[in-house]
Amino acid sequence: MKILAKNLSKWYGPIVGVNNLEFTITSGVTGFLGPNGAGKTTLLRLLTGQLKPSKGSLFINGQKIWNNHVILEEVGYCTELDNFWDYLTGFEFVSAMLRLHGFPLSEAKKKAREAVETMNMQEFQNKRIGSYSKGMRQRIKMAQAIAHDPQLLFLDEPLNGMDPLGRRSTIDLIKQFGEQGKTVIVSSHVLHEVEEMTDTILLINHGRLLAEGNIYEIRELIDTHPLQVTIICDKVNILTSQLLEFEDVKSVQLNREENQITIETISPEKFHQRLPQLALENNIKIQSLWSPDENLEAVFDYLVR
Amino acid sequence: MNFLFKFFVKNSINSKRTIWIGVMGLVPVLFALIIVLLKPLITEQGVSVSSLFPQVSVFLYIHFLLPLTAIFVGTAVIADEVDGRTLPYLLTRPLPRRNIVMAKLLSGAAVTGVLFIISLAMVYIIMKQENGFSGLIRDIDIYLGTVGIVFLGLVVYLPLFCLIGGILKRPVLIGLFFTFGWESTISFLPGNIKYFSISHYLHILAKRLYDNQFTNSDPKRALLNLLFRSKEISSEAAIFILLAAAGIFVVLSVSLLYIKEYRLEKG
Repeated sequence: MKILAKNLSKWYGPIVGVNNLEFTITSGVTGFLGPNGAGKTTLLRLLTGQLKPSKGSLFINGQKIWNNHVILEEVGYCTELDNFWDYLTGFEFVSAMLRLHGFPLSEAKKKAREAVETMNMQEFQNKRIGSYSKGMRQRIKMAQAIAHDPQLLFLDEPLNGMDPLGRRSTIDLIKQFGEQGKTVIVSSHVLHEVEEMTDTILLINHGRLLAEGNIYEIRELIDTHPLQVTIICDKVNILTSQLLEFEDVKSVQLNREENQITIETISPEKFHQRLPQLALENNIKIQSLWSPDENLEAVFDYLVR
Repeated sequence: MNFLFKFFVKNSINSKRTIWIGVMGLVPVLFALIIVLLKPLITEQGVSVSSLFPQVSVFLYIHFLLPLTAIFVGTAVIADEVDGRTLPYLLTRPLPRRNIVMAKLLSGAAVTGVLFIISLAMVYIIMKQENGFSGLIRDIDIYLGTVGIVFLGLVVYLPLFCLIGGILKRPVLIGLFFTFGWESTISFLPGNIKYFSISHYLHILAKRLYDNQFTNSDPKRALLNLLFRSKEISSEAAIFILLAAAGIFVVLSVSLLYIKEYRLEKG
């Protein structure tokens, strides 16, 4: 399925929810990445027809979304809100959502059973949702989103509150959906979560699209800017003085207590070629080296700075 | 639509509001019991307890309980899902939005209507028991007619308060002002302004229903006439006006969900 946003803006009075967004999303998993309040949830609500664009337009397979309930037949949505009709059991909830989707009773029960099993909630399916832990509530919410086998899934912070096992299986499930050719959009402010699910992201902050595309393409965007590298070694003073002699090294932060230095270089490639030689010549033992920019979090931090 | 209706009925049954309405429904029952206890004093005046059923019905149900419960049920039609933050589950399903509002209104009317039927039945039995079983059966049309008027009132008041709940802030307060200010006073004002109140048309129906209970010289008839001073319009016309008003309020309430957006915050 294809999602197209054109000059999409949404504001609430003077508050801008999303601002002039343009993007196209096709099958596979796409991550909406941004800090809390970035506009991810507003965007998902626009995409699921809960909100009407203030300006611009939004299409799913060429059809407008607002007040178009037919398009929702192929949509599954996991809200970030942690609210339910608490008197229902998990199974009743998923089954009821399927009935609202138009499935007859027997089919709704069958599909609800399958979805509950997929989310590993069989043990708790007959307990009231009101008695569920946060992680269980999150899983049952996921179950109602996937139960009708939608081609288009919108998942708002789906891993929020899940235990490590639940997170792992949910991440695998999301990846599996992507591989099956479904269009899955996952929003998160926890960057490594998204990184585990997909390479394709939309970076959003203050309602604006900061970057779009493959994680590596986004990383290229910042290649013209200093790359941070942190090194832990035994002779931090010597290494610091040596590194400062190179023009591409813009700054060095020294932490003697931790035996750690953090440098900023505008030529990461040269830096990585030079460093082993430098260590060898000065007999410096490098214990660890990492670049925060290797992690998506650093890309995000840089772009929203 | 059928499942949606059943789903909302189940939600209503599990809500505290329904328990509250049930308790409120006991107020007329208590009142009826007090009247029965005061029977010696009442009969001294040459009035039978059973003949007071119309007055109790008009004052406690049509004037008080009906609009009051309609305020709380009507204003909560969408507010329940907004406050409970369950609205996204409904709005992201392939359901026409009109079905959501219609099913909620119908379920509200059904659950509240059943509570009224039970409450009215208890009052009817308590107040008419002095005539024995045959008396209860003989006057059953009075009971059924009263149920009909109350239900018709619900059909009009619920979408009206649903609309008020969707448009205005503090809808309960405004609903109370409307009910016990506008509706309660306007029916008794001279001129044609009373035609702009719902209770006026309910009064017409009640008057017609209870009229043949009394002889022309009966002082209670004079009391009813005082209550329902109005230019005579037929019961059919009153029912038509009430249903037309209900239709307009339903259409406006449904339209609101197509226009209005709900920005639900985490909480």
